[in-house]
Amino acid sequence: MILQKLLNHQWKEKVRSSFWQRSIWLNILLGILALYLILCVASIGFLADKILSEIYSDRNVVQAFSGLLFYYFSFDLMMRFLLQKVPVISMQPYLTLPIKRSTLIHYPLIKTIPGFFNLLALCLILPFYLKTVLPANPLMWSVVWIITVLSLIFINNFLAFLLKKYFAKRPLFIFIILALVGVIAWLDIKGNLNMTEWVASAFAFLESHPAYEIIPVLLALCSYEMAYIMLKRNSYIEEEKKRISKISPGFTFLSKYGETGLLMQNELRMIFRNKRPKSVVWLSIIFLFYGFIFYQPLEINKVFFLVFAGFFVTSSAGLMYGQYFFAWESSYLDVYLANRIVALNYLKAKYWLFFVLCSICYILTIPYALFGHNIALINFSLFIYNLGVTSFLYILFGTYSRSRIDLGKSQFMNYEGTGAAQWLSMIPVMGLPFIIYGLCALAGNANVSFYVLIALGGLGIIFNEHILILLTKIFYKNKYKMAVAFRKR
Amino acid sequence: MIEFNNLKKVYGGKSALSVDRLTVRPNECIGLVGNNGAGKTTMLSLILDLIKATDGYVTSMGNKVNENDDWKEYTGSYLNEGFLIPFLTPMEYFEFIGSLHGMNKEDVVTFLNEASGFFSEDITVKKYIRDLSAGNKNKVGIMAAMMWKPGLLILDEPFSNLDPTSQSWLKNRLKKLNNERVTMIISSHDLNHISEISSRILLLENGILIKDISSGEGTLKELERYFSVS
Repeated sequence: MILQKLLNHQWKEKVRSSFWQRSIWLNILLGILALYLILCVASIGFLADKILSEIYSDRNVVQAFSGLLFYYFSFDLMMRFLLQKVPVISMQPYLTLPIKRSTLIHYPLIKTIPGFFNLLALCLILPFYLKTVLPANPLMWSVVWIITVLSLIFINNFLAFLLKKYFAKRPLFIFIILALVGVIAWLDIKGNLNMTEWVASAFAFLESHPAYEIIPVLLALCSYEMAYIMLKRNSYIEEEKKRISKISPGFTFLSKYGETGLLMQNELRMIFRNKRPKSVVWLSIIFLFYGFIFYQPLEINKVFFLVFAGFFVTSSAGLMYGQYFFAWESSYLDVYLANRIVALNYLKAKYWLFFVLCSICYILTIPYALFGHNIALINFSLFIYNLGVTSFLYILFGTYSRSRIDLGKSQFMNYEGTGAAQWLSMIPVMGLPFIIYGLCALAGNANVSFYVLIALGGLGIIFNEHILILLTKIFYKNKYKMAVAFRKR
Repeated sequence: MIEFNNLKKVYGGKSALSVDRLTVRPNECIGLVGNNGAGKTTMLSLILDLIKATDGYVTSMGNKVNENDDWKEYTGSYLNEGFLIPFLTPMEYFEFIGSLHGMNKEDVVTFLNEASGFFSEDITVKKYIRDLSAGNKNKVGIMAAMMWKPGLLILDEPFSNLDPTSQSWLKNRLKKLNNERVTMIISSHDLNHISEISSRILLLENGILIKDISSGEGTLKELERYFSVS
């Protein structure tokens, strides 16, 4: 009946939308990744008793596991905040039909219960439960345990929606929580703050006083209720106060630099006034810290890692911006095609913005040189290489972009705009430095490769105008196909 | 001014436009009419070099539009929302388009004051174009196309989504521009408006030019007769 029809519609909506907008290869890749994740998690659950008995030789394995659940659920909550989609049934078409409003609200909520994150949590918990918890403890005990854990999963599921609704505008929130959990974990390991023991004893308390089990169950029901209320509140159309975005800076100083400056102004406004490019900038800030992972004593001598790290760390913002050259303006490319804009200036604007973004990243990552003597050279060479070679490669591959980007959608799990061009571009862009390094190493002197990179990049920078003129010809050839692809919604 | 030469555009086996010869003379005001799918937007897109012709070419002032960009200096156009930059405020958008043609901020403001009959408050209020209503978005696009006094003006269904007052304002403005020697190609579904403004009507159907007539007294009746279903 009604529920069946709704299910049918939802299925149609799913099948006809994002799934097919991504290419089949991407979906296969994602499918494999998901499967891999599930297998990993399930095997951890299965082998947890062995792992934990080695680490926590002084404690009951189940207690240890329960304690660690704090970290698992914190992490789980954060991942849900980032990746879980808030349930929405596009209500408007259904509101005036003879369907109870409460059905329309319960339905999407219930639909989230068999979601990926819940599945993942179950894959972790169930093997452990069946293998370790059940056989070792009295039945009542095990039942209480599993109810508690299931309630926690349930709470996380709905709490994520509430958090997402209220904090989605402030991604800083996530960093704060991440930092907080990190600090707790650090203190825990050091022994100053025994979070794991505290949580384990909370579990123990519930076991010995099963009557209190009502608390987690009540909390679970509460979280559902709150999600219900939130969804209900948003089901009235008038409630949709048009969010009028605050006007962000106009970068008007650039208008003094002629047409190129004008176009750079547009690009900067595009980055700061739209959800997706703005979150890309945030992401690139995170990339700046990659160095702390790679520049550890273990890896410091493996040049491969240094080159890899240097490539990203010195130019992260530029790379993320450049990867989607032209696709960023897919919803308004016609403005640049039909108006009096010199194509060379158009490409110049992009080149110089790339230049500026990379330069900022490089300057910020200069301190990494303190980690090792050859890092300074490697990073500088990769920076110059990116300025003089990668930039042009990105422009070239950009003209082969064939899919539209919606600037308003968030960057996370958003594969709009990635097509064959983007994947293929990674090969020469990232591959070349390594190939050059490999060739020089074979020839006897590996360090020469860095000077080669600097030379190549330097040439690119010096002759940038000539190269850009060549690229405009390619742009002219490819603009029709690109524009036609972008106009398709 | 504009010439079509064996112009053809084919989409997936089906001919969207096929015009052997067409000449648009300076100062003409061409009204382009036809049912949906007739090829009006295709024709305008070809003139603006936004799509690639399957065969033939369009010239503007003697130069092929796909080989020479000079036409951009005197051609103002607005076809659809894709011509707007969604994250700019209307003022910023006007300033941008204006500065491409040598207009500074004061010039833009002067123009907007002159055109105040067309606008609602929204246009000058600090709102991004993407947050405007469909009608206001259209107004921004149309205004930006006209603002810098182009020699050739190309509009695709400008009267759609406009309230009655704005429609009247636009109609009068277009007539005035034509008197000031601006060449225009306007497509519309509104037979009344189009027969009032145009000096020449082109009627497309399935990509073929069925009628090419000078607009006069009986034109409206002729068009209504053509499109009526009985």
